[in-house]
Amino acid sequence: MAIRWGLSQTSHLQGAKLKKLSILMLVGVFLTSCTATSVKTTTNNFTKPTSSQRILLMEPDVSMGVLTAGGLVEPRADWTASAQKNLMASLGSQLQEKNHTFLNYNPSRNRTEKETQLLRLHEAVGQTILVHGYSGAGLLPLPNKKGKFDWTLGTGVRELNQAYGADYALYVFSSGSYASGGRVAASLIMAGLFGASMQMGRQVAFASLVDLRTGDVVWFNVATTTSSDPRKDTGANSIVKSLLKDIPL
Amino acid sequence: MTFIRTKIAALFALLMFLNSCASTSAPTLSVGQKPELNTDEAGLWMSGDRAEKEILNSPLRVKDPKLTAYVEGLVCRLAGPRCPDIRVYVVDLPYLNASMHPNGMMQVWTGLLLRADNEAQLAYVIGHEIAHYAERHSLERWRTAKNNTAAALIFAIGAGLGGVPELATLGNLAAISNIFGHSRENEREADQLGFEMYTKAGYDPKQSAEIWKNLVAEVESSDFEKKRKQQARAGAFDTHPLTAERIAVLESLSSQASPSGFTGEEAFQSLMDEYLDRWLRSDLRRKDYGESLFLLSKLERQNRRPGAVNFFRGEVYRLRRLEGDPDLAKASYERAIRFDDAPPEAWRALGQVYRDLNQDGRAAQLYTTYLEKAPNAPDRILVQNYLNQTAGYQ
Repeated sequence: MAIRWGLSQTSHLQGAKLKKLSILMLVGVFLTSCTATSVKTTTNNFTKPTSSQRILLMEPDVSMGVLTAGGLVEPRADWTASAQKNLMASLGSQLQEKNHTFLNYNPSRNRTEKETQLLRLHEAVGQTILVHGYSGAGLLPLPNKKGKFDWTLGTGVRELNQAYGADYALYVFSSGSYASGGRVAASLIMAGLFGASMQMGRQVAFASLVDLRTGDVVWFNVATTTSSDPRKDTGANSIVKSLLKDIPL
Repeated sequence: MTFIRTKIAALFALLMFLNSCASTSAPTLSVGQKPELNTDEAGLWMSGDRAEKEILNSPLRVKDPKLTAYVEGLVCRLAGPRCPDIRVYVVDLPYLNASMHPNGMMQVWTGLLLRADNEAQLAYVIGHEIAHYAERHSLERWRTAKNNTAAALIFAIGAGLGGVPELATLGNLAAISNIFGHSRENEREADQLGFEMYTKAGYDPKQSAEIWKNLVAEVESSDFEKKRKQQARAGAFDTHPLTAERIAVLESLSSQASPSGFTGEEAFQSLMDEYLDRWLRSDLRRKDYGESLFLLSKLERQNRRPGAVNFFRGEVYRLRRLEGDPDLAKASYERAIRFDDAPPEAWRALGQVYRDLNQDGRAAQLYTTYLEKAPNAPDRILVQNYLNQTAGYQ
């Protein structure tokens, strides 16, 4: 939340709002008490990566927060740090079982503007897939994508291919919230008085595997859960296990 | 049954009341202070750190060392001991604005640099931003939002119990308007503290209101009626107080302050000389030609780079394309090329005008001058090709 000086009242948080909207929509579809996943594989030409091919593991984009009584998500730095650490560790150990060389993307390395744009583009495409790539209540499937899953970042991704000597990139996004005491109390009252249910804390994660030559999103998966907690090792392990389901590696 | 319900509701309302009455005010941040990791403030800082990472890698960030050093110097002069806690980025956005994140990340937009008449006006805005940071306004604003949304929920439950669930919306409206109301209070506080900071640094107190007056005049010349009308209207959902109110407050503050102070005109003039082309080029992206023409006239009165001012005035007319504009564009370009400081594009633009008038000889002369002045022009091959063709016909 930034404070501005002048007259402009446009929001810095528009991206964040979109993110929240797509997550909200998703939950309408995948809401369940255990972990639900939904895998999509590209309908473009695609062959499973061979074992000699190298996979660039991007830094997971993680944000954890507390769901306040009034329904706002308050970011929590400590929870985010522990979830980030646990998810990284789980990804590392579970990917080790796959027969590939994994390279870690170095976030502190001075990136080029193009690389930054690619990271943002991926996030935009990922969020778009969440909202428009699935069909179901509350989601907005695109008529021109009927039966197709041909999302791509375009051949600009070759910059990453060249910078890292990698053939694919694996992106992970994870966002979660935990209901505050006030929120839990409010939901009990709402349920007791009106039989209404209120949105409670939950985890949403998605992962995508991008071909660093064509830019195609060759595999995409969403996992939603209200039971696994990535702030704990076991929770992070279970989320990553669901998230990597059917990954063509 | 009703009795039990009422009891539960009462108990709950009490709980929520305690929760929603959590204090929003936060004491002034001490120098070097960072929030504990498990606090709401650390969460806001984390969001700020993320935004900062993005701006660090954004193509809009201005990396010019001279300009960034100038703005950094200004921040340090105003922030004093807080200087190491604040990082400032110049961002190429053509609007009059600056922003402050809770973690000490400040943005100064090129549209602000273009509109400031002198260093003092810029310093006033930067002081205002530093005040937001020092007084932890982002945190207060967040806590206000949290409390008010919780209060709205209690109100909704009450409305539901009272049998008029439609009323719940009113609670939401009240909550949102409270949040914005608090934001306006913060702005007033920052105006006041920013003013103190900048007069303490020795700047002319009168300049603080000037930048607002200029803004009012600029908006009045906007192409867009909605924009012209909006600035005089106060709304419950405005994040900032009315400009007229801010001008009145600042004028009363400066009438009480010591009348002496400097405007920092010289350093600012050299900045303007060097970067004016870039800032004006960005300004054209707004496509509010009325405002752009206002700005250009102001720059002309201040004797800023006549070649650049006239060239960009020509560009406004060329892009606006109202009746008579092509002639105005031509006249502006003609005036621009009489000055040494005109950007090379002025010769190209005028060359294009003559080419459209089928005066190829004059066009060729102008294009030749353009290539002399900009030997590495990206469109060199294209222009050269045109020159070769016209030479063939003559």
